[in-house]
Amino acid sequence: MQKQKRTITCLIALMMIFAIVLSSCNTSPTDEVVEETSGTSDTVGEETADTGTQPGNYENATREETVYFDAYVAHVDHANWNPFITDNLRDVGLQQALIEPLFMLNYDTGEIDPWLGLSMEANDTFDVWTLNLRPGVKWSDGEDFNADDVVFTVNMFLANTPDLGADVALWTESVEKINDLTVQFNLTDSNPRYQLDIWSFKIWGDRNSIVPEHIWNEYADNPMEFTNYDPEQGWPVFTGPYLLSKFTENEYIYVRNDNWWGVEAGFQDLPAPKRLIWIQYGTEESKAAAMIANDLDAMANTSLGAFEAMTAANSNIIGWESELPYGTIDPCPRYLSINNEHPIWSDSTLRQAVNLAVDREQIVTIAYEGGTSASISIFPQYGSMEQYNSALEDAGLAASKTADTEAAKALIESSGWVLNADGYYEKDGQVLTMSILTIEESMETRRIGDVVAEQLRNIGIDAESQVLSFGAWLTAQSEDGTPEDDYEGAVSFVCGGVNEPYVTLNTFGGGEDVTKGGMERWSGESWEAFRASVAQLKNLAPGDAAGVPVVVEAYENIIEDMPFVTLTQASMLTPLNTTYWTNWPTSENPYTIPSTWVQSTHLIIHNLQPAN
Amino acid sequence: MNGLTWKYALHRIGIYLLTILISITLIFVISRAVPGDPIENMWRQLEMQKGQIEGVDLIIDHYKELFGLNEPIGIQYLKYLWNTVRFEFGVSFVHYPTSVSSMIGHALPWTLGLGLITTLIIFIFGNGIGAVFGWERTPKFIKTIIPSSLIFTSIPSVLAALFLLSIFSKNLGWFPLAGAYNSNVTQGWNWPYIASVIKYGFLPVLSILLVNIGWTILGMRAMVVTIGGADYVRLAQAKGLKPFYILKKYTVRNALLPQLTSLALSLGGLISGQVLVESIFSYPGMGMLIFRAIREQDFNVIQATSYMFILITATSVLLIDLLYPLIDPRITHGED
Repeated sequence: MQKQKRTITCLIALMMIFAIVLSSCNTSPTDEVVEETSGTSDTVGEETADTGTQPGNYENATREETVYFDAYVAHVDHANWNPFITDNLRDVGLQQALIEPLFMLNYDTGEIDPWLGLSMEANDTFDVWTLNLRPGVKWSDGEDFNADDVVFTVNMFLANTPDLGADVALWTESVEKINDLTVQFNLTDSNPRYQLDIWSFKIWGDRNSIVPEHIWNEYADNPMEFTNYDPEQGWPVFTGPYLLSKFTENEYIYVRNDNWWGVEAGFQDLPAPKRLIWIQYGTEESKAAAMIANDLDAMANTSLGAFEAMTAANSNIIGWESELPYGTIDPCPRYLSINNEHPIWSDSTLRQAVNLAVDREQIVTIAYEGGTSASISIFPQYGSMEQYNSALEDAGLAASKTADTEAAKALIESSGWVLNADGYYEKDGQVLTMSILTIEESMETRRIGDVVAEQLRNIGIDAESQVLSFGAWLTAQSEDGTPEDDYEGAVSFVCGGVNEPYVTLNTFGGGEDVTKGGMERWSGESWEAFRASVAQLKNLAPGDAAGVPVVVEAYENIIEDMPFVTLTQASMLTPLNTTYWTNWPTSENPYTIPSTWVQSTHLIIHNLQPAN
Repeated sequence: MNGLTWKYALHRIGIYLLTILISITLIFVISRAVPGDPIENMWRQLEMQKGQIEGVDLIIDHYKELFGLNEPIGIQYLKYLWNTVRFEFGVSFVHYPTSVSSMIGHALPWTLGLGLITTLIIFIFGNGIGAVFGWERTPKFIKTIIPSSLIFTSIPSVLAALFLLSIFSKNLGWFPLAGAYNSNVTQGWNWPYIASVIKYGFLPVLSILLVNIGWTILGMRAMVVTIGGADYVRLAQAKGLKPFYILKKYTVRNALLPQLTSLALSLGGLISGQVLVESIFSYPGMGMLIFRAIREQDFNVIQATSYMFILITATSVLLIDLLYPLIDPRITHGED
């Protein structure tokens, strides 16, 4: 009996030891990093005083020398550094640390700022463009970046359409090298936006990045098969101020290239961070915990609640604004899409009524908890769009921030609808309904949908919010079934123009051979007039003042027919940590947008300064 | 007493193949029943996130053609069956040109590691603890621990994962928030890497373990109690054999047989439980892969990962079925 009890006790003891051994590694990963790297720092510190980690040893840079960015997208093939594949690694450092754009759009001024390119000029008819490259640019392996690389890349695009995308081939007839620093593009048609849309960072990154001819020429016929990764040869080779150091399943690590061309060319100094890490933390809660623990310096878009929790726990965390709405806006305003072919909602009077019934301030207060602003038009309210938004306000075409429910009801009644006993409008035995489709993956659209549905119910429209997966949401609006089965309304968004309205307006104008515009299936006289205005805009250069009255004219047709209802500016709330790094972009220091997954992050990295 | 016979083996293998055929057919049907075209959805979503993509219709048509989505559904199904049996899963729609096989090749070792360790711990410790709890001579104070083993059994492993993450990672900082190993260590057979893998895998393993081990403990305990009253155990006691010897040789050995069956059946549950746990810990295994593939409507990846899950579970059950007559000679499936 004693022996048996001893055996059982031993068994239990063994289990406990096993558990203790497993839990013995009780430090966080970042603690480990700090411990290991601070060891390096201490050793180096004795020899180099306060110069920090030595060149060539930036793999072991200290926490103070490293910036941790949030890798919010999970990728699969970590060893494929081809920037043209569908699942490219652009948002985890490829386009922020390695690939530099030719030009970069400034959201505040609307200017196209030079980077690898110095200028790009068009002839009078916008069908021949001349690119002037910046002298002194070098690839990270020391080779010159020149017109040969540009010509090679463009020809590679032309020969591999649509694998590498379709826009270059749609607009480019041919490309010629004028000299080492000058390239001429002969277009298929007039395009005043050729520089902006094809060769600049505008919203996410320059999709058509220039690649080194001396490396890619072997793969000119099958570029999608090239992984662009060989650490022994120093690949991937781009022009950026960082080199790829290594990667794991959830981290991408880059070290500073002290031989970066920008210093010698007098373009810019070396950026201060010696090491950049894009790290994936998974859930919003985990990211927030990492921000609070100072393990993360910049986080992707987050909710207002999470942001407030973070700032309450760590006073070093800041947003774009120091008070509500804390964030800035992203380029894709939200709006209520209405099916203009629906048997009920084809009546523009009813759509006008919905526009009057919507209280945009209330949507901001309830759905966003104050975390954004009401839209006055379908355009993003960046500084560069100011002239258009102001003109719309001056013309009395701007959307009201509050509702006018009495006017909305009067409009509905003017169309022959009568309130029934349930408090909803009814005509010929049919109740006035609107099912508003929202996206399951987007809490923002779901919350907007709920508030708008409530506002519509308040004036007598039997509205409800219907949650669908993105695919189902898209399909419901895209499919041309019987009108009765088609969608009625949907919370939608349009990512079009950032510094000029053409692209946004063209979304509702449709292509050249269409008979109705956008998901809304807008058609009729107003739409034809609208299309004529959009066609005029197409031929004007972005920012051309002559476009302002044309935009007003186009918008008059929108207001006349109300094919959709503008709602809110999209919120972009990106928490930034000032514990180790300062000089992040904010409303008081708006040198760029605070999104660290887009290519303008180059500006952030060049502006960051160590806190100590 | 024929034990394992050809007739029985062929019968079981037939059921095995039929199960797989029905399952992979269902996966084909279900993945295509989801509204929307995966290629169109992907590019429209990209366009909405990253701005207008000129010539997007051209790109969508190109990829539909490339992935065979323009072919009649019957042809797609036949090609799918033929490719599946040859383990040719093609390329990912969303992560093109990455092959599905390479995606699985990267993810499977992490999931197998997590799954096998968890299964082994559950089987060894769950049955060990269950046997101790069910044994009549176990001290009463140890038996009072039984209810505590059931605390986590009624909650999903995803909640257990969130709970553990909150306590041990966010608040105490003992374990990492996400990932599979520390980027500062070199991958390979070296102690820092192994220690890092153990540390990063500890909470995911624990999340699955806590939820599943209770059922194994309860099952084993019940079997031990039942068998404890069997005639042959009484006879052994009457013969004066030592109680622990009886527990080991007579009780546990017989009680393990049904546990083996439940082990095979639980493999499917364990893996499906892992899907969300892996996504919470950003653990780069099959769970993450299938979770993302479903969201992205990546047909080829959904089909391949589901096929792997089905294959693992069905093969485990088949092996247990075939081994049963060998483990327990009393069991016969042949003609007398």
